[in-house]
Amino acid sequence: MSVRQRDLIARRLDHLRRMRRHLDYSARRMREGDIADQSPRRLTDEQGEILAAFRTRFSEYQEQLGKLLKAVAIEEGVAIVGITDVLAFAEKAGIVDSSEDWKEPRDIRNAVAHEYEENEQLLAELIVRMLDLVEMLESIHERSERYCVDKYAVPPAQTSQEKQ
Amino acid sequence: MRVATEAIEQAVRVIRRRLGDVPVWLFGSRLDDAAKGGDIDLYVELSQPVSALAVARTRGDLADALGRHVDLVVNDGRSNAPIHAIARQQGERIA
Repeated sequence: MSVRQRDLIARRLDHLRRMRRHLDYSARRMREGDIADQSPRRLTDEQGEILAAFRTRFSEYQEQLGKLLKAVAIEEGVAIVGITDVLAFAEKAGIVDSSEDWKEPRDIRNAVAHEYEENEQLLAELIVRMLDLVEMLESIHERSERYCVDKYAVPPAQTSQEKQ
Repeated sequence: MRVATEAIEQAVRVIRRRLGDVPVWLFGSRLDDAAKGGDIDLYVELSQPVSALAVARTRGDLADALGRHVDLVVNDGRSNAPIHAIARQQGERIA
């Protein structure tokens, strides 16, 4: 691997760590305010903003994670036609247990966008599940990071003690 | 009908794997032989309520299997949307 490619992956990982921190913050606020269980129409302006931030951060986190997986798959010589090829590589590398682990959050965030204006009862059900799936995405993130640290010697995440 | 038989069969398989042995209609612009392009619009009817999660997963599976966006309208009896009647009346039952 060239230095440039290693830097690119290291930068993506760094970005993902920040995104994860922001997503964790939004997920915590969602849980603390029981926002997922409420009818979206009855949310206060502040609660609506928390929900909007959570949805955006969840979506962007998965998108960025997908870009990392694609970059790693290309580095490993995988011929990429579509996401199926990336997921097949990720399964083989032990980064995801099953491609379904990736597809479920993807399908749910697409459905949330679809249902947003149409059916708030369905939307609430999807948001609850989306909140549950944060852990799944973070597990894929952690395994991706471990793969890159082991294979490409990119710098691992610093602990909060090391940062100080 | 401007959808390949193979694609229709694949779509029905995907839908029934997630939602059970449901009737499926094709409706919209893909029935118009003179038109070009357009989404594939499918309509299904269920005899009992289905979860939003199951519908979301079915839509995702359809997009994966057919390699394009598929507009899936699901009527599980909980709402009476005008699109349900339009799809049923103007659509062609494919399974």
